[in-house]
Amino acid sequence: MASQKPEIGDMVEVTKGKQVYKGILMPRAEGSDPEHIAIKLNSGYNIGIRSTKNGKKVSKVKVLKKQSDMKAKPIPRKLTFSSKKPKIALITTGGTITSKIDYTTGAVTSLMLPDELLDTAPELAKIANIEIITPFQKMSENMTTNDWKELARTIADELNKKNIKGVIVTHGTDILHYTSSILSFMLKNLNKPVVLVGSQRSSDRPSSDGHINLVCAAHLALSDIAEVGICMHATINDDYCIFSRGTKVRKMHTSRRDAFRPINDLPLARVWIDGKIEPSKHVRKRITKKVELDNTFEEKIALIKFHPNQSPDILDYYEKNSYKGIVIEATGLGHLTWDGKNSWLPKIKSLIEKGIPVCIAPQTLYGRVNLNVYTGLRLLKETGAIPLEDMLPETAFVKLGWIMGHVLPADSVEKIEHIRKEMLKNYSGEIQERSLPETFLY
Amino acid sequence: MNYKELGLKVGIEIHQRLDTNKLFCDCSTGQVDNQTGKITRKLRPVAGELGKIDPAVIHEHLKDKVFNYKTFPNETCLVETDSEPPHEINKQALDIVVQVSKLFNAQVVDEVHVMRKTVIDGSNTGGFQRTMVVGMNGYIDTSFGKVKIDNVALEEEAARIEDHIGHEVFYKLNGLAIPLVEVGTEPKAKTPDEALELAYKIGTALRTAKIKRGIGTIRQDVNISIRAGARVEIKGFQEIKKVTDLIDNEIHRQLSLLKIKQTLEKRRFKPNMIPPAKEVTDAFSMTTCNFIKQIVKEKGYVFAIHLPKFNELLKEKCGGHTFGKELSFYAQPLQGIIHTDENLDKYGIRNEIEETKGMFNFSDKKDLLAIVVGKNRTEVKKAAVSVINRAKLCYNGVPEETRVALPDTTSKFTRPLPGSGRMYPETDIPPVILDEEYIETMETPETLEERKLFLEKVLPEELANQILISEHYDTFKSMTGQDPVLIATTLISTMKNLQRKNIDPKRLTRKQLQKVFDLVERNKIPKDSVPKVVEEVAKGSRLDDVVGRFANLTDKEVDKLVDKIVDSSPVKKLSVLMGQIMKQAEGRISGETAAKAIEKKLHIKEKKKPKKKK
Repeated sequence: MASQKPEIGDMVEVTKGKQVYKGILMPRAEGSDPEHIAIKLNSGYNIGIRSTKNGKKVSKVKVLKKQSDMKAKPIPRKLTFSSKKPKIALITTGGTITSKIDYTTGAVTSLMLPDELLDTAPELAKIANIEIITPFQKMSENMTTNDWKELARTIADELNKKNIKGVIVTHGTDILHYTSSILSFMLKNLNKPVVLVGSQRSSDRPSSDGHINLVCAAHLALSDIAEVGICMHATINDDYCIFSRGTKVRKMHTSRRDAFRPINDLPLARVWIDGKIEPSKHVRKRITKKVELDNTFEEKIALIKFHPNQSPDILDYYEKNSYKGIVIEATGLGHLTWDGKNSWLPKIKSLIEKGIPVCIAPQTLYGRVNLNVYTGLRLLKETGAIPLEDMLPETAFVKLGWIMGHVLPADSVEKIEHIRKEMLKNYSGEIQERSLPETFLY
Repeated sequence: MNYKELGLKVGIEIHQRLDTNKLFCDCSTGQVDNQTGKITRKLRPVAGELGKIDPAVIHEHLKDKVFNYKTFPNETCLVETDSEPPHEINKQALDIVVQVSKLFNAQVVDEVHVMRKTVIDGSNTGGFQRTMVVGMNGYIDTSFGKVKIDNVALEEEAARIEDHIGHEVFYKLNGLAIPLVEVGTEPKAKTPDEALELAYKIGTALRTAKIKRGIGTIRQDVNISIRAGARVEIKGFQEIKKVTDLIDNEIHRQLSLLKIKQTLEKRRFKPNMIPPAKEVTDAFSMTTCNFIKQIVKEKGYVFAIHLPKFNELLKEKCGGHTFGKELSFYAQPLQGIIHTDENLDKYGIRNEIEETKGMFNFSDKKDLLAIVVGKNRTEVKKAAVSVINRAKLCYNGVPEETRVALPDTTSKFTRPLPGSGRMYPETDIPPVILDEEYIETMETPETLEERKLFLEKVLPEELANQILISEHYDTFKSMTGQDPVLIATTLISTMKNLQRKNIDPKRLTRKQLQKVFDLVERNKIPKDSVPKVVEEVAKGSRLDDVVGRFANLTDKEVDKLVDKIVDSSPVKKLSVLMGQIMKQAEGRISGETAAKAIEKKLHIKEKKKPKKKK
């Protein structure tokens, strides 16, 4: 019999010197050492065996049995939904909440069948009749503004269906707060709940936070709260979730399950897995009107973080590359270098004169910018820069892109004034008029 | 027992804690902290890797379970709470396990892959335990020949359970992720004594590596089979000396099960004779039995099990308990079963049981009836089904399963033997390549024999043995000085004293200890002060500050003290004066110096006296 070429999943015998190992040939994760192969031993353990050293072969692989029959077997439970339950549109876009391990190959894939997602939270069937829609599947860091436009359109379509009570969007957590912001602007006259949800710990682990977030999201989608927001763990415990306003929320921790915090704001609601909801007084209620889709976006927007000793030359790059608008994360109350050779003021002034708006958002995240307090701030204000109150830099970035995606006055001065007015107009709670003490480090 | 005839085969798996920080973060493993925080979590079954177990059942079981975890300032961080991905593998722990692999002549793998082993009892916050094979195909020499060591693995310790109240389970996170080395042998021991020797040999060999000492730092899993029986794995046995009792009990259990099988054969029992469990809650609606009444009142359920031909069998002794008790283990997590082979009067449910019998085709002479009671219908039904399934297995003799050792050397059922399916890769930690050059540099620790030879040259036998089996060997060997007995005694007794006083001896560095011994050598402090000096340093004082208080008295100070004591003492006997001086000097003078000084003084006095008389 001719020797067969070993393939992933085959039962193989690997001989290296005097050592002989038997097991199933496993795939190598991307970026792992090319001079080793991995096998799964009968005990269930994986080990790596050196196959080559400096390109020279040091071990031999013999196929004992072709194993094509052992391909992916876990079959998710088919969840049956009752048509008598209220209907929710669940829009999946990828991310950790829909990532899992392929138990045969051991590889982690970020894409999961929608049914498998529901498999992690079978309680959903008791709460609602869920329809799954998948416009695209991506880890959130790979998303583009076109994905936002498509997502907004998909959501609007669902919201305008009579039988849909609310929408849930599953999404990667890294840029979840950018998406929640842009949706807050693109979905005008919001009529029903739009609940964004993710998970910080992948759903292939029994300790994943995803299912609680998802179940709480379902309760919110059926509630009276017609807001775009993010529903994630409130604390490090698996006890309840908070629903935070889409424009006032931010991922504040790389890995904790309670990473999403409202900034300069309190949660819209607290939600428990059994369906209990404690809404705040200031939430918008359901309306019967249709939602209006306004999903335009100008891509040439920059978000710049100012740091000490930074030359304003950086602004030349954006101007040269035809950027249309700039948001600067300034220090403290809104400071940028204003004295000495590194002063940013002349450059900002010239940009604004050319009709390129420059907005100022707080690098501190918490608190409000105020361009009246110190000399440097007043000088910055005189350049025509737009101070954005207590708006989050990320929210400012997507809002500027959204505003500038619309038709704008041709005249530079008029254009800047129009943008100033629009940026300071409170579309979706992105500006809170009052700074409440209890919002800090909530 | 004639073990040879029985065809006994025993393999041992030793789990030993390493003396390092945690496996995937930099937390301490000292286990000395007080609890400062608490977190609560839920776990869920994960689709796919649970094999034959019905996820729906597990889901139901976990649905209401709340896991409470205590946290500790120096011993837990976000990694233990499953709030941060694991850091890279603790290099020191990996080094030790490579050394242990070499110690057992195992082949160190070229590339280590971290695996996740699904565990959903809450003892791991992530719902899985991390483990990795480091060495394979080693062996150990015993009096009954070479025994193959299949695997040397590095894994993380589970959290220790503290309490279980209703649906709430309480764990302490300080023990979670302490590195363990796991050494597993082939089933080669053919008598309990051979198994003891094997476990003992592995345990002693491990003592030469950097491991933790004391209660709870080592435990054995024992896998046992007899020819007519089946392979059973008994986990978590701590008292190595009693492993022979554990094995004898298991053999007895398997033999009893075989006897029950024969009896059932004689009675012409067939598994399909057992009818499905029936819900009989109504029969118990008026019961006077307090705990059943309580459960029924709270909308609980009673299920009945009819076991034809099982009459009297549940009274059989079965490995240290009755077969009735054995069946009860399968009703977990419910309390157990109540059955007609026990005295039903103590429950006061005779009438209810009679009524229940009427619902089956029941024979009082031949059959057995059992009930299970609980609050959650799915759970009660599941318990009844699992007891029935176990009873059906009696037809085949001994089922393969995993059991947990109980302190009295019996064991109880935990779950069927798991397949390899519940192991899957830990994707948060990349594989680690162990190249030949690195493996070469990992020296195997000195063997016990080598250590013994060295110690016997410098210490009296008893002290040599104490150091040999203690954790201080390396420290002892690293010290230099003229007085090895002083060094050894300090390491053994003084350190123990510190622990008794709740002072952490680990705060003493080898450098500090060496300095103390140097001071003795240079006559700066007396030997007798060493325990006090060491204690002060361990409490956190600077050695230089302490030395002044315990330094030897200068010649002048000695003379002054002797003058004072001798002059004021009415009795001028050497022994009495010695006692007083030693007491006053608080150890800052050696006996020899004190005696010389007193003699000198008395001598002078004696010389003076006669002069006066003249």
